Amino acid sequence: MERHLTDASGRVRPTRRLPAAVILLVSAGLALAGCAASADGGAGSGPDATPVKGGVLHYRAAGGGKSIDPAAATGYGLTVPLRALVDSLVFNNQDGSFAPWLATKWEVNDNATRYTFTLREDVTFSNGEKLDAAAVKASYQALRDNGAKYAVANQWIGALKEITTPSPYTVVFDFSKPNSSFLQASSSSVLGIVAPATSALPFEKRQEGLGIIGSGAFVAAESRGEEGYTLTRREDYRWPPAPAKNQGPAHLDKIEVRNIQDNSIAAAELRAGGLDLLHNTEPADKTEFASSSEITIRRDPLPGSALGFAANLKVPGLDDVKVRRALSLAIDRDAVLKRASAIDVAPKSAYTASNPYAPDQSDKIRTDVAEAKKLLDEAGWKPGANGVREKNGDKLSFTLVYSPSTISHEPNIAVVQSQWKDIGVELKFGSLTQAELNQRVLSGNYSFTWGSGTRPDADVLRSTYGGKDPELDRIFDEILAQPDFEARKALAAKASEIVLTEAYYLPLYDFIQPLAYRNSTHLPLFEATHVPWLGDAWVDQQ
Amino acid sequence: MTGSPSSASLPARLARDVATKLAHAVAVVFAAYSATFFLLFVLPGDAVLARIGTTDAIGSNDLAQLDLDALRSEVGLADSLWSQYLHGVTGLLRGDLGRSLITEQPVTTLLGEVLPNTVTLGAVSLAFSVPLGFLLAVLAVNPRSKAVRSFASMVPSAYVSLPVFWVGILFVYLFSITLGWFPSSGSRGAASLVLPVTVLSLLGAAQFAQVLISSLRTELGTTYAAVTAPAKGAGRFHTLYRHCLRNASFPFLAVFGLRVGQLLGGAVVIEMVFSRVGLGRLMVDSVKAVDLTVVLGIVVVLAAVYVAINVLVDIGYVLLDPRLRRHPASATRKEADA
Repeated sequence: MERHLTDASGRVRPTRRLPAAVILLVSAGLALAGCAASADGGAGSGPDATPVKGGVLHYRAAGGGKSIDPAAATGYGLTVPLRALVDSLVFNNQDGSFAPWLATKWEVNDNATRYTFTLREDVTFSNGEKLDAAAVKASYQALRDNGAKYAVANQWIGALKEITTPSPYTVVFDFSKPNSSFLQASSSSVLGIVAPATSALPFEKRQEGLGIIGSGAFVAAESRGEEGYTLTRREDYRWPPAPAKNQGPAHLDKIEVRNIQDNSIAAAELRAGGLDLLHNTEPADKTEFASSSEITIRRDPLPGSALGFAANLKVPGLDDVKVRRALSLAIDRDAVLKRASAIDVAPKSAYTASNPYAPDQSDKIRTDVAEAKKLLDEAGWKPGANGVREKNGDKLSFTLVYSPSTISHEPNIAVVQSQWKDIGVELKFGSLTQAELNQRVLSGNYSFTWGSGTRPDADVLRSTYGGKDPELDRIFDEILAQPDFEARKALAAKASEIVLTEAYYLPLYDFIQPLAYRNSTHLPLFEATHVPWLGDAWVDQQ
Repeated sequence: MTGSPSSASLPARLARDVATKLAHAVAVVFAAYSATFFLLFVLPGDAVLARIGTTDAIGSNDLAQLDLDALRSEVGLADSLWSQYLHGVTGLLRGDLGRSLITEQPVTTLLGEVLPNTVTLGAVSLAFSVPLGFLLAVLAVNPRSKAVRSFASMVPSAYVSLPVFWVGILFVYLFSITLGWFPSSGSRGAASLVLPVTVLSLLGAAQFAQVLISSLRTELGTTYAAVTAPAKGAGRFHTLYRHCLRNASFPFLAVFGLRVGQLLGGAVVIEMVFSRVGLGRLMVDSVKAVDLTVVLGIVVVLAAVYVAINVLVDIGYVLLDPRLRRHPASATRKEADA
């Protein structure tokens, strides 16, 4: 097996680092991930660090464009600065709990079909307009009215029936179907509240450089088109999320957002000090940053579902649970992790370990090649030509499809390819444009997709595993109708167990969110999505 | 030698030439538009599918739950292919390129925002690359030292074989990140132009030099340059400069149009490397997003650029070759035969 590994990886990535160092770093990463649940996310700021007032944070967003419309920006990297431009009704802590922000309190009914928010009365938008129930309603209504253009935001909002404003500072959301995920959705910058002047704009005007007015700690001051924009501090900001240590105006004077296209140039800029904070890092840079004395790379996986292969149950072979289990058993995840970057960690369930609802089901993710071969024999798949198993003219040959953002994982996928070859299974893989990928998934023309839903919520599995198993669908519905955290967590564990035992999903490793920053950058507060709130961030002056 | 018959027909001939050229130009733009339109529809997926889902989003989305047909009708993708095509073509005739399927902004506005940047980058690079290309070519054939000549003739081939993005990244590392002389990204101020223009004009110069070197060598081997001119007492440089360069320029002109196209392609890559606002970046983003209207708008602009370059090349022939001014038809035929 070792020989195959070398072959497979040697083809894709000729130069590799020392395995011993990698093992050391991987185990360090594992140890850190173990503590992740208890960590407060304040990496980069020691308990006695004193915030510095003033300064500019230089941030690089991957794939950013001219638009700063938070409702149209669902990508993690684009969200980081926008989180400081708009406030949300509630703040979602990393442990999954919620804290007051624009709403001082809120109530959810028993089946999660009615949410009542009581708003702060002292909040204004940067254009002077007042934040009240009518402004919140207008902000949401603008998204509903634009339908398809905010398809993703509207999907998170769910089956909204109506928004009512019984008093000037009370806003009520009524749903025609339970949506226990709404509180999490409402906490995201995507559903951040914009000023009535912005809500009144047509969609295309919101996409222009400075179209968005929020109530956030920063104001959009200058647009450089596709190249980026500048946010400046709002001096009269007094309504940060409750968990923020800094309850006044932001520490930073400015946030400079630079949409640098190339990952390696951005990484070099971070090393040289031209950037303070960077999103999206190539695996080689990840490994280097992990051992850098000047740069910190976050080691918490992005909350959501673990990375791996999601099976199409309509494909011959994958319709049989024995085959799916065999494929999962044949994956030696330690070997995969050796090829992955130094900070990726082993999966513990169908959720990433950083998801507040994640159970620890590591015992269900095993490697046993002998058992895998036995299961395939039992299922009637016999070795055929070229060593690929066959049955009734069908071959155990599978296609994995993914979007271009997964390309950096290809060397790791090649490891699985060679491991499966040893049990007589062929794997082909390649990236498709997002449009083609979605089309293939809709038409069922694939064997595996790269499962990677990200949302700090129990409901994150539904988008990948919905419609595969009636029992699972029932649990997903129960999750949506259950507003209680502990009860949702129990349901999430049941869902994850079904996904793993039925092997609908073959997890590889947890998705490390590649946010890296210079040690002079301090990010004391992260929300559950692992997006930092930059209102209390600061940069040490040189 | 009265000259009156030909001069009398000159305005009519000019008018006919201009009309033919215009008709060609319209046909080229129209053909490019139509071909791209139908090619884009063969591509799998559409703008609605392209905007749904990225791996590192902060929230998941469920394809199966979306009413895709409703989304398509909102952005006008639900109509039949023919009605979309007719709508696009009639818009094109009115000078209206439609609106982006993603941001809904008018395509002409989007193009207006990016074109000045790309045109500046392309024009400045071209302005540097032509004289630089000639200089390199002269250096490769004129000096007495064989070492200098072979070195100068090796440089262009070596440079064109390097990928543009690689050279770009190398320049960023060297001159921007390590030395800190120029900004690594952006398009603000003259300083941001230095590195991209250097990469591109070196590329252009190398490509022009390759063609010029080979044609100069041919010219230098012909009787008039190798025997007649030296016999009349002309020096090597005089022969090269006064006699050969003009003749060697014909193959150069012939490939000029193509090379400008390659330069534009290089500009696209360079805009990505240096994170500059420009046509290249708009094109890459729009193709990724299957934003048909924007891609088609860019194709129209590019087709128009090619047409304009070809007109310039034709004018260049006329300026270089006196025969074309006297007997345009026969001279053109002769050129074509050659």
